This record gives sequence, structure tokens and C-alpha cells, in this order.
Amino acid sequence: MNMCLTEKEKKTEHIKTNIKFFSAVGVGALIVLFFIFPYMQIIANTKNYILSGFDILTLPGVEIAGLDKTAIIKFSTYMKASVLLGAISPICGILFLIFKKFRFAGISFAICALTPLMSLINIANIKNQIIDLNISSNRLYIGFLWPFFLILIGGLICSVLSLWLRGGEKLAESVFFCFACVSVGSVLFVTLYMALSGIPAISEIGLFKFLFGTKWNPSKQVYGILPLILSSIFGAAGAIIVGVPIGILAAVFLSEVSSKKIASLIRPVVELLAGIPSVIYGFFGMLVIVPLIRNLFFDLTTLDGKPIIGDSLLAVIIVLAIMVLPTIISTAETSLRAVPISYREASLGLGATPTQTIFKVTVPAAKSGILSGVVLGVGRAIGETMAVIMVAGNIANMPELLGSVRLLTTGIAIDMAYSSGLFRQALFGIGLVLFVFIMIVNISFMLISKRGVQIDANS
Amino acid sequence: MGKKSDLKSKKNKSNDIKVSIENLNLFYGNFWALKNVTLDIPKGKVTAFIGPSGCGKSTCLKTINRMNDLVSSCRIDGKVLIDNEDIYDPKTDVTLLRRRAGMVFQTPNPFPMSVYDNIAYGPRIHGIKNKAKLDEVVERSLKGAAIWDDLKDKLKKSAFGLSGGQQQRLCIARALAVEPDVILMDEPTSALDPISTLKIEDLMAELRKKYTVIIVTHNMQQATRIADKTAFFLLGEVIEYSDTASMFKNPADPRTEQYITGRFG
Amino acid sequence: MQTVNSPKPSEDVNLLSLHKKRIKVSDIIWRILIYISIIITVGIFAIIILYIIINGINYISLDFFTKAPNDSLEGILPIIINTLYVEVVTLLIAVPIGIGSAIYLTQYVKQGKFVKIIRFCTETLAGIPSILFGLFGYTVFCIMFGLGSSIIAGCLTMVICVLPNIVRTTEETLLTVPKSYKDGALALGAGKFRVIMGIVLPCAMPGILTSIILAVGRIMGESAAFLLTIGTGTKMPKNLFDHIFASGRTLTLHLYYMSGNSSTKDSMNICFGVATILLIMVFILNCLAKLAAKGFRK
Repeated sequence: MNMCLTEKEKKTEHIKTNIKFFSAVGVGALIVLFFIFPYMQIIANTKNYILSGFDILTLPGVEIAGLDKTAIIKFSTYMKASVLLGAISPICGILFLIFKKFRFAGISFAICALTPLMSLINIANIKNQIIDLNISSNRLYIGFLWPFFLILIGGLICSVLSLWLRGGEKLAESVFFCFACVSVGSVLFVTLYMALSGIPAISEIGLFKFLFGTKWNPSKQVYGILPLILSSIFGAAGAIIVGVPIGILAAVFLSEVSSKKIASLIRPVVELLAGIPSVIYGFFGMLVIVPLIRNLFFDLTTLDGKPIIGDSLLAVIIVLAIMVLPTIISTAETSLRAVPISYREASLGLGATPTQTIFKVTVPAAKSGILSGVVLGVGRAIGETMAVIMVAGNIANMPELLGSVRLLTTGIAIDMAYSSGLFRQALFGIGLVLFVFIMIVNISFMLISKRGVQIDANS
Repeated sequence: MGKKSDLKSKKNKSNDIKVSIENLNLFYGNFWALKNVTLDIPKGKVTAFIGPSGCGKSTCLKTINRMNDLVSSCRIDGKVLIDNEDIYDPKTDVTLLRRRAGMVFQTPNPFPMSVYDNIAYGPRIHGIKNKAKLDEVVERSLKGAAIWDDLKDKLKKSAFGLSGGQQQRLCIARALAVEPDVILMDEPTSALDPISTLKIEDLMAELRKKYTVIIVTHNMQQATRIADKTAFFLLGEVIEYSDTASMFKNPADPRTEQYITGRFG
Repeated sequence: MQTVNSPKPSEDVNLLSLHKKRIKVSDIIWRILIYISIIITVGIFAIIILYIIINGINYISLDFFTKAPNDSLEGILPIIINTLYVEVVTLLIAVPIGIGSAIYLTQYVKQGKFVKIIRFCTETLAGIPSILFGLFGYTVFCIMFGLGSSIIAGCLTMVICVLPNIVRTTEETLLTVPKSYKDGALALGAGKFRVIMGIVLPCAMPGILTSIILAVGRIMGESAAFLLTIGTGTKMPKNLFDHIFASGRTLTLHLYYMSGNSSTKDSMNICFGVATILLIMVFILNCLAKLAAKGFRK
């Protein structure tokens, strides 16, 4: 490429820059104008209320007529702030553009584009206030009008244009940066949200009573989740006890014993098993394993004298064991394959039989990989919901091999839709407990697999 | 006891030949790797296999304890006898064979275990559980490999923490721990520095007193330093096999002469 | 370990005949256990697949796919359409964000502690059970954002679910692109963005494709995250765009709801039909992932 631009090229470059600059300023000005255009629409009891951003900011509230009473629906400070921000940030953006601070202009317009989403979050608050006026929710509609969408899209366009003024490379970097912020931000937000939303229930019920209470009876305001915790732990432990030996031995077969041809036939089977949706495992368990248990143990009763119905901890264990099998086989096989041939040669050269070599050298050398597979399996077993819901029976008993159980995951899944108040908070508490469990499992997985890498590096 | 003396007399009959290879042909798939190899390897001596790379010397070594079985495309015909027993006979107990013919590999390959467990691995798989006995075997093997003084304080440390030379001597000690009578060494010093190489060569001179040692080397000086007999391999054939001193002084075959004077290889 | 016919340690092994095989009982037991394990694994697989396909194949017909539920036949067309909506909308949001952030985290940021922490976070979050994402999506998207039980709420939940996985796998493949390629292009005077678009991304394409296929499979097989967020609707879409704000169950949820509704014989048949379709889809996706990975090796 020629380093010196010709006169003509310089001119077109200049024109392009000007186009970007003025269109950004123009669209920005338009966004500011939208402040006084209709922004939000509320239809309650066939009456139509239309509000502009200016209204939301200045009026104390909007008077809405209910069936028997009329009240002023107040806008929260948060709502007002977001609308105000939607007007101020494009003004700032235009000023930054004029003073050639393109990066800050881009940021301002991006904030502007976010404000409609911020006010969206507040809808639930307004909705609740109106429903308190005895207006049923199907006669209520809260919607946003075109300026809302234009602020969103216009903000994004202005942001891109003003960043583009810094050059294409910089624009690309900024866009990628935004994407990274979204994904990292969502990750952090979910983590924080799960942690924080569980705390109120636990502090209200009391940590000890919540974790170690043996009765779970929401209708009587008794929230002890020990049966759920124990059922989850026993379910996962049972699945691991059943699944791990089979999984490791099957992995040994694939990597050490079988011929390449047979292994290449069986490996896709394992991969397919890993991909089968969990509802199918649950469905299979419901139709095959549960009746099998019912018929095998039909003359027994549970400890409190109830008949065996088949939906039981045992069924949970069997289904989970099947589900963790592919995880364990594939990680164990990968790590067995990574063991250097020289170890096997050395062992065989000392007169060990192939089987002795497998269990005394190859498997111990691959143990950190195998262990991380097991931990991964534990995570999958504890977190599994849908397969378990279909075979567990979902009664919050203390766990018993042939009795119905309710696990942490199924507790959340079943009750969430119709719970409210402290009950709902308690479910978030369960979520937090589950989250902590999984965190422990994941972090130990990461520590184990990191240690595995270090050993490999040394050898 | 009668059986033992039978076997002993059988061994005496064979004129102190430990390993004898008769008309051995070996194929990897379609590749003819060993062509009509015939060698008689004497007991209690160091025998060296030399030759340019790819000439089949390592392959020949591996046939002696059947490590070639691990290569699926490998086909063998001919005979390899240890103490007059054909090791390619279908009745052969391969694990016992490998126990009797220990092997040291090109690159040190300790197991990812402690020094102690590395040595004790062999005795353990062969059924020794007694702790005192194991201690004794470990000490004897490490002394046999002349590394006891270096490692006696590090028995519980990981074998990966040792230097390359120490690892290789550890591997030799590991082979000694199963009490073999033939030790096969596949270029045991090629991955080591000169000082470690020297130590291992000294060790081989010691080992000759108790064991039959067969060593593959690409280093001719090494062969002259340590070997009693030398076999020269070229393109899968044994060109010449005689006492080391005579071979290096006046080689019978012109190709041998060319090789040892550095004309090719 | 028990050994039979094996030489006692004290005996001199060098005096034993080689021509007598000594068999270890423990070896045989281990072998048998290994074979039993692999038979169990393959057997379970065969039983599940055969059980579902044999029961389901009879019920599958063209009408089953192409009709909305009516009195005579419980067609699943609207449910298939819902599933497609979920796949498309989720991927449209998650794939650009995921690939973009992977590019930023591998190509722009200095590889230091900060990136390590982020990688740690995404890796931990990748293993979180989907029911927790469902819980999160329900309170944030359905209630706080006022989206209610709708396809878009389900999609947004699913975006958060699959995003860590897409970011992680894309990052891994981007890091495998040899530095020499990039250096070569940069030395020719190409800008960073050009290098990424022209060299890095095409090199990593098969890996990225695999991660997208995995995400498709995950979305299709997911049910717990949708259970709380996506509603139970079975209506045909009235309007292409508005449908994303309507409630609509996916295939997996349909299977779940139908299996609980075991009053009639027909609902079980529908379950088997849906399960068969899901199995076939999983099989196809696995094959596609294999093909993409094969391209990767070339």
C-alpha cells in the first residue's frame, strides 16, 4: 500500500468522516427530542393512558381509575432516573462529539441505548401497583411506544458511529469489548444474584433451622431442608458408587483392552448416551425402572408402613448412574490414553501381565484425570432435575432407599410456579444451597484437573 | 530338587550360551526388518549390537523379551532360545520371560511414583508383600545400580525429581529388582550427558559379573569400552559378529570397516 | 493379590521352565469385570434406544409432524415450531456475543491474571445446573422485566446458560491458531481486525462450528431452564414476531407434561413419538459435530 494518500483519497476520507460525524450528531439530537414524545402506554380497564418521558419525570404519578377506587400510581425514583438519563446522555454524547472526545461520546450513547432496558425492569413495580386497584392482570396492558425502540436502536447507531470516528480497528475492538462485557457481566450477575437472593430466607428462618430442620411443610410455614439435602447427597453418592466402577472399567476396555475397531464402534455409543436429553432418561426410568422396583419389592413396605410405589431413591440412583456413565467414561478414557506408552512398556518389561500393568501403572498414572471425571459426574448428578423429577416421587421424606424422596433441584422445580412470600424465598434459599454445593464440586474439579496438568508437565 | 538339577545340567550342556537366535525373520507389515539373524550370546558377558539407525538392532533386542508383541503388525518366524527354551513357543509364559530378561529403555521411564515404589513395583506384582523383604530388595537393587548413596534419603520423593542420569540408573535398579538373568539395554545412554554416561558404563562393567548384558548402542567408542562381543547390523542383517577387540582391530567384512571408520551411518 | 501356579518369591525364577503358562486368578477376575462393565454400558444404551424407538416409530406419521393438536390427532407442529424459535433466537443472541467475547478475551486483552479470573468464572458457571438458571430467568426475565412466561424469556435464560460454554470452547479453538499465521499477516501490514476476520476466525471455524452444534444440542435437550420460564402454550403462532412473546413449550417439555398426564393411552404414544424425534435429532447433531471436528483435524 502506498503510504502517501493522494489528494483525491484524502478528500473522500474527509467526506466520510464528516458524514459519520453529522449523522451521529443528528441522530443524537433526535433522541433528545424523543424525551417529549409518548414513551409508555398503560391500558387499564379499557382506559388508555399515554405518558412521555417528560411526564414520567415531572408528574408525581398517573391517576388510574380502578373498579371501586382511584389512586395515583407513583413512578419510582429509579424509573425517573432512567428516563432522565435517556435525555441527558445523548446531550453529553453530542458535546463530546463536538469536542472530539469520540470514545466518551460512544460510551454516552451506549448508556443512552441502555436506558429503555432500565425502565423495562421497572414494569413489574407499576404492574403490582395497578393490580392492587383490583384490576385483573388480563385487563391490564403496559407497553412501550416507538420512541422507546428508537432510543434503543438510535443510541446503538450513534455509539457505533462515534466510535467509528476513531477508526475501524478501534471500533472493532470496542464492539468485541462490549460483547465481552455482556458475557462476563452476565456470568458475574447470575453468580451474585443467586448468592444474594437466597440470603433473606435463610436469615429469616435461621441458618440452623433451615439447613438441619427435618420437616419441609410449606403450608404450615415449616421450612427445614435436611431431607432435601440428604436425598440429593445420597442420590449423587449412590449414582457415583454404581456408576464410577462401571465407567472406569468401561474406559479401561476402550483404551487398553479392546481392539481399535471395536473401540471406534463403541465410542460413538458413549457420545450418543451423553447427548440424550435428560427428560428421555426420566421417561425411560418412569416406564421401566420404577415399575421394575415396584414389582421386585412389592411385598415390602417403607419404614413408616407405606407400600412401595416404585418412585424412590433407588430409582433416582439408577437413573443418575446411567446419566453420569458417559461423562466418566469419556474423561477416564481420555486420561488413560494420555498415559505415555513408556510406562506400559516399563511395566511389561518387568514381567507384569497386561492386566497388572493396567491396574498398577496405567490407571494410577491417569488418576487425576479419572478423579476429575468423577467430580464432573458428581456435579451432573447433583444438578440434574428433569430426569429425577419423573422418578423420585417428590415427597419430602427423609431419604430411604425404597421410599419417595424430594431433592434440592426438584424442590425448586415443582414449587416455584405457585409459591409466594417466604415460601418463594425459601426456594431461593434452596437454590443458594445447591449453588454452594456445585461451587464446591466445580472448584475441586478445577483444582484436581490443574494438578493433573502439572504432573503431565513434569513427566 | 531333581527337576532343578535337570535344568542345570541342560544349561551346562549348552556351552554357556545364554541366548541363541536362529534364523530369525521379522516383518512390520510389509517391511522386512530382520533378515535371517543368527546369533549366540554368551552367558555372563556384555554383548553390544551396533549399526546405523534403522538397521534393526533395537528390533532384534526387543525380540529377546518379546516386547515386539505390543506392535500389532509385527510378524516373526525363526527361533529365539533362552537356556535352550524357545520363547516364541505358544506355551511360553511371556510374563516369566520378561521377568527373566529385564529391559532398560532408551529414555528413562520411571513411573509417576516415589523412588521406593518404583523399585518395589516389580517385586510387588510378583507377590512379595512383606515390608522388610521389600526394603531389602529395594536396598539391594539400588546398591546394584550404584545409586543407593544418592537416593537413600530420597526414597519417598517422586522419581520425577531426579536428574536424567539418576532416573536411568533408577530404571536399571527397577529392572534388577525382579532378579533377571539377562539385562537388555536399548541405547541406555543416548539421552544422557557424558558424566552420567560414564557412570552407567561403569555400572555395566559391574553388572557383567552377575548378569548377561546385551546393549544396543550407536556409539562405537562405548561398544569398545564395555562390550566383550559385538554384532554389527546393517539393513536388518548381521554382517559380522565376533569379539569386540578383534572386530575393531581387523574387521572381516569391508562394510564393517567402512562403518567403524566412520564412512557412513 | 492371590496367585496360583506362580513361582514363590523365594524360588529362583531363573531355574523355572518358560514353557509352562502361569495364570493369575486375579487377572481373570479383572478381565471379567471389565467385560461386564462394557456390556452393561452398551446394553443400557441398546435397551433405551430400542425401547423408545420400537414404541415410538409406529406413532410417527406425517400428520404427527404437520398438524396442530386437534380432536383426532395430537399433532406436534406448534411444539416443533416453538423449539425452532427457541433455537434460532437463542443462537442469534448467544453466538455473536459468545464469539465476540472469546475474540476479545484471546486477541485483545493481555493474557494475565484478569483473564485467568474471567476464565475461572466462565468455567465454574458452565457447570451450574440449569434449574438454577431457570430460577434466575424466572425472577429476572419473567417477573422483573415483565416478560411473563414467554418464549423470549426462555431464550434469554438459555442465552445465559449456553454463553459460558460457547465462550470457553471458542476461546480454546482460537488459542490453538498458530501465532505464526497471525504474525505473517500482521507483517504484511494487515490491521488486527482484518487478521482476526481473515486468518484467525477461518482457521478456528471448525472448532467454533462444533461449539455451536453442541449449543444447538444443549438447547434442544434442555428442559429444566425452560420449565419455569417458557410457559406451556401449544398454540400455532399467529404472527411471526409476536410469537416470541407468547408462551410455548418445547419438545422436551411436551414430553415431560405428557408423561405426567398418563390418563389416556394416547399421551404415552405422543411421549414415545416425541422421544423418538429427540433421539433422531441427537443422533444427527452428533454426526454433524463429528463432521465439523473432522474438518478441524484437516
